[in-house]
Amino acid sequence: MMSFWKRFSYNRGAVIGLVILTFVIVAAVLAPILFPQSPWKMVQRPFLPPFTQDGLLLGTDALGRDVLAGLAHGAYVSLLVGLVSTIVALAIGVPVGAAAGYFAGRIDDALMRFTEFFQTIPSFALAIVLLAIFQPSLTFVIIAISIVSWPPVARLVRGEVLSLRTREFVEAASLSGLGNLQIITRHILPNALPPIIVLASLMVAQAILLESSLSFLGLGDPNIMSWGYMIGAARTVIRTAWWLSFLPGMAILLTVLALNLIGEGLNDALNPRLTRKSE
Amino acid sequence: MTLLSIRDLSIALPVGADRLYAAKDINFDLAPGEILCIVGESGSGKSMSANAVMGLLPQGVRPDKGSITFDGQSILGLSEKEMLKLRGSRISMIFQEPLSALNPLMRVGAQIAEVFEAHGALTGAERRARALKLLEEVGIPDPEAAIRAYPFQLSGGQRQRVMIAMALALEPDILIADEPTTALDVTTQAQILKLIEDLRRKRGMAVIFITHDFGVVADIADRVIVMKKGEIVEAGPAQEVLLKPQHPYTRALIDAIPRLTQTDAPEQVERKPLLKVEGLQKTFSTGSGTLFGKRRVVKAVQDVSFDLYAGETIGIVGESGSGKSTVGRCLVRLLDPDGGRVLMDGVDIADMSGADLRAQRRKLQMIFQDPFSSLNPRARVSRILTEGLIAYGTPEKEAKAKARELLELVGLDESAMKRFPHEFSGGQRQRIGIARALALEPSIIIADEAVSALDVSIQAQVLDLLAELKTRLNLSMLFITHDLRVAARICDRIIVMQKGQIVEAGPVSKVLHDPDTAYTRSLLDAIPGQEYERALAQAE
Repeated sequence: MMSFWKRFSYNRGAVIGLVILTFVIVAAVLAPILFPQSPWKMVQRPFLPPFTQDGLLLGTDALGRDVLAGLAHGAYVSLLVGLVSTIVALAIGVPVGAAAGYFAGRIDDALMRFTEFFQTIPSFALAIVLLAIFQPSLTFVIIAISIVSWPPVARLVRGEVLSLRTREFVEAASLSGLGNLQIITRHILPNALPPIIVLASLMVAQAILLESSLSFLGLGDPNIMSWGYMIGAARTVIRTAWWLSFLPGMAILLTVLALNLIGEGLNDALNPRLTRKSE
Repeated sequence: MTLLSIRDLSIALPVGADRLYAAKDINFDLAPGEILCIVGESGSGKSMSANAVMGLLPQGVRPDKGSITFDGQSILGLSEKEMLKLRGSRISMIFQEPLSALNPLMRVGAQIAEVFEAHGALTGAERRARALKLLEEVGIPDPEAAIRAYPFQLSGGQRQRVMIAMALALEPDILIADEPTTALDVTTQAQILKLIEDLRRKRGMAVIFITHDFGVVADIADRVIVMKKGEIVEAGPAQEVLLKPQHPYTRALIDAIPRLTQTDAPEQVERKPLLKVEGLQKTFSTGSGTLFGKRRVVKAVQDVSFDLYAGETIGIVGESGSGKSTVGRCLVRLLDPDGGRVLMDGVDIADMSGADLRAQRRKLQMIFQDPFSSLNPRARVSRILTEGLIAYGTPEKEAKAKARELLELVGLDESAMKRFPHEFSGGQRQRIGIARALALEPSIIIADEAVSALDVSIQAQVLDLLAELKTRLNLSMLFITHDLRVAARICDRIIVMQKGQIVEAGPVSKVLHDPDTAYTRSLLDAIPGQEYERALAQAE
């Protein structure tokens, strides 16, 4: 465990990413305390620029709502969507990939064709269609994002399992009389974990981007303040009040960047042999 | 006159490694046309010393003090640019695994020509002609065809010949060979050793030969250096070091070499066979045989039959690709045989499946080759040893007690239970593998190259352990190996396989000293160090 942190902190970008992400998490957790009022509530006159009024650090938007409160509450939504949809996607992708890789043959063919069916459809288009069918609530946003983002997980897990299942310790386990399920869950998956963790950290970033894009198009939950919605609402006034699009945009950029940096750091720390030596 | 001279060379390891120096106070000279063998077990620093000469030390490892003088010029601390001029042209190197040292997507001829290109020698057509001549010189059959082949189309021995051809391209003064025959079959190994010997004589080239195998040393070396934990413990002419070793470590290494000459096993009394294999068949096929190319069929096991009696050890020997491992895997049903019967106590397990197979498989356990991949890196030893028992319904507490007994049985401490596999050495890991195989109290153990990955002294310990366990627990063993010396040490009977068929079977003394078939004879002749063994026996 010590050496994990040592290798992780060796990557400076990863540490910066972790700092940014921690800040976002703190903002999300403290949002209801710092801004107990609804972020939808009008507090001042509209189009108040940042740093002009005490108590309204980042000014107000087109309807006079507090931008800073919106950003903080939006952080909570973004992280929630990112995390939950990634967990759901893993819950679909890992079993599918593990079954395909372990049993091979016909089962593999069937499961992989099913996966490819989802992969061949552009994921954003599919998410839009799904949300157009469902009602736009947070739950369905999460479900839609999970459905479009599990195939890469299945692919990755299948590949890992395929290479692990021929290893001698797996053969030894089957000679010891262990059942297939036990072999997969106790011997194969723990060894396939590092790349899955790395992929998961990147999927969180991907999910945050997807949610923002959907909200920008007005397909998100209309009752929840999110970064994508803020940009979408401010796009008509981008020439007069550019900061209303810029600030939530920066929030998305930094959060996604942080997650990508962390993903790379995790990759270096969990696969020490693959670490690029040139640094 | 000396070509290469190393004085007081110390190579420092990065901080936090298991010792301070990879190699410490190394001193040796190399004369033109001389073969110097550096022997030692894994981790002795033998490869590091040679890599230092090439200026190819891994990152973080650097020479600390001392000097390397090549042809009157100090080469330690030369810039990368200056080293490039020396590498390949004056000093060149061949490696253990020729497949990973060759570019898989480049034709052999182009790879050899590239050596000339890198040093700006010759023109295109000349390079090709030279490549052809080199391939001829290293004894590749049909060089015209080989020059256009990709590495995967050649056999292991041929690939190593290509590597040697590349190393020889610019007529170097020194060839460094780092375990060049370890990955090869005995017969191929004998050919490569002969090739190196011939080339040395013809070209007056000096060779630094790194190996762990004393048999090879005895056959090829002029002078020998024995290394242990980064230090030279003994050095001198081959005859002296091998026959009159001064240092106890050298003596221990030499004593650990399994001897071919051995006492005969007690005569087998007529008993009912424990395992009866009749007409076992296994065929592998690739390609569908329809639209896309021809179906390729490999008959890995053809009509193999033998009986295994209680308390007996049968050795299955053969070169790689002879089907010996496939036999073992078919018996434990890691592979499904295509035909034939495998009778355990009169029950055919060849087409059993499900619960029946599970019940029978308990009596037939396996020890694997590679102690580094046969243990789950993320499971503690206690789990590795108990989960089989628990899967067969033993309560956890009993299983744990049993696991502790097993550890004691294989000579490990009880504290091993809580540790992970990577905390153990190769030999200790193999002991854990043995304990796991014994956990289910099998009556038959199949050991697939169980000691091949181990150093010779560890190998001897593990073989002794297996022999002891066999008599104590009255086990029968099927010992699959490519090493006839190992087979001689532990087996009662030997089965020789070639291309999926049994070519010869019989008691050890008969097969090893008076074989019936030419194939077995050729295998025996290829074992390195036989003359040395006779000399050693006489000296004793």
